[in-house]
Parts: sequence; structure tokens; C-alpha cells
Amino acid sequence: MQPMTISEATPLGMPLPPVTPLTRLRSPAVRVDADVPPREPPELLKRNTTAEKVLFAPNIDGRLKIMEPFVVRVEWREGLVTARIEDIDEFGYGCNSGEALYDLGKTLAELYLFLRENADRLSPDLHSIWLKLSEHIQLRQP
Amino acid sequence: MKVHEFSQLETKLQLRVRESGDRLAWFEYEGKVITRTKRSHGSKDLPGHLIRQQLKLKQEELAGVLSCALEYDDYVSILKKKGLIVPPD
Repeated sequence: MQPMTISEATPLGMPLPPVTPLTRLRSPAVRVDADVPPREPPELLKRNTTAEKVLFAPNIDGRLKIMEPFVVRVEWREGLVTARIEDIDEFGYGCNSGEALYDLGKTLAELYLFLRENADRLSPDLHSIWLKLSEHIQLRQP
Repeated sequence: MKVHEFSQLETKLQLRVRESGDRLAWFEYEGKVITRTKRSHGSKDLPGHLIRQQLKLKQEELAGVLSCALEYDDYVSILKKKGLIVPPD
């Protein structure tokens, strides 16, 4: 198949004549080869009918800052939407994904503060969750 | 899971609770925090399977707690068997 050339338009709406680019970086026209296969979407964005994964970095609490986003699995199950972070076994829920993510944000803040407060008396399981959570969330310096 | 079933869990397993934005509930044994879960205010239905996983219970074990077949001591045994309660050094 022939490659397509998409031209820019002038401010007056008159199309510019197609120009062969001198370099790939500073081209007035974009050449699109029709033979190029479509790019595979990233694993994170692949969807199925009941679940999807999103990157989540909420502004959860004024005292806390997110250092690294969480991978959240959003699922629809029995009329309830849940947003779950499998790594730390935490979730939020609600009637829709917005509510579930909002709930998850609040829960993350509470969990972080609770584990921090009790860091010296956590079971090994919760201690490992605390360490993982600390990689994502930190206390803001006053 | 319904809200009243969550309350049952809190009572049967002697979970400690803290009212904040949500209701945070956790299980303590000999001064250590072993498991935790939560429920959000205002929701009638709760994701029972996720609460169960946070409390480290199997489906039948959760059913046992809700039907009064399992009590606090049984929960301690379950957590010990799963290695979540470890004896002090």
C-alpha cells in the first residue's frame, strides 16, 4: 500500500502542499506508513469485561504525598465496584469506579497513618505491607 | 456481606475499631496487630470476599464465624496455623 501524507493547514485554512521532510524530527508533514501494524496496548491498559487496571496516585491527605502510583484493579462484582491494590491487599468500594477509587484513597491514608503509628507492634505480614506502602507514600515534611 | 454481619465479625473476633473516615478494624493478639480490615460508612453491601481475605479466613471459616460455629479462640488457632501469629523470640 502507498504511504499516506497528512498535511498541515495554513492559518487561513488553505492546505500546504505536501513537503518531503528533510529530517524526521523537524517535518512540516507527517508520513504514516499504512503497513505499520497497530501497536499493542500496554498490559496495564488491556481490558476485559469485568475488570481493568489503572494507575492511581491520589491526593489522599494533606499530610501525605504519593511517591509512586499504585496499580489498582477495578472490578464489578455483584452490583458493587471494588478498587483493589493486590500488592498490599487493600481496597475501596462503591456504586461506581469513582466512588470506589475515592474510598480507596481515604483508606490508603488511614492505613498508612495506622501502620505508622503501630509500626513497632505489627505482625510480619502487616510489617511487609507497611514497607511496601512506605515505598508509595511518605509523610510531608512540615 | 451486610453491615450487621460485619458488626458480628467485630464482636466475635474481638476486633478493635477506630472511627475515622471509615471504620478501621483490626485484630490484636498479645499486643501485636495481626490482621486488619475496614468498612466504609454509608454502604449497605460490603465486599465480603475482600474483607475475608484481609482477615485471612477461608470462605467456610468466615461462614463459621457468622454462624457462631467459630469463636475467638478458633480464630487464634487459624492464624497460628497460617503462621500469622508467631511466638515471641
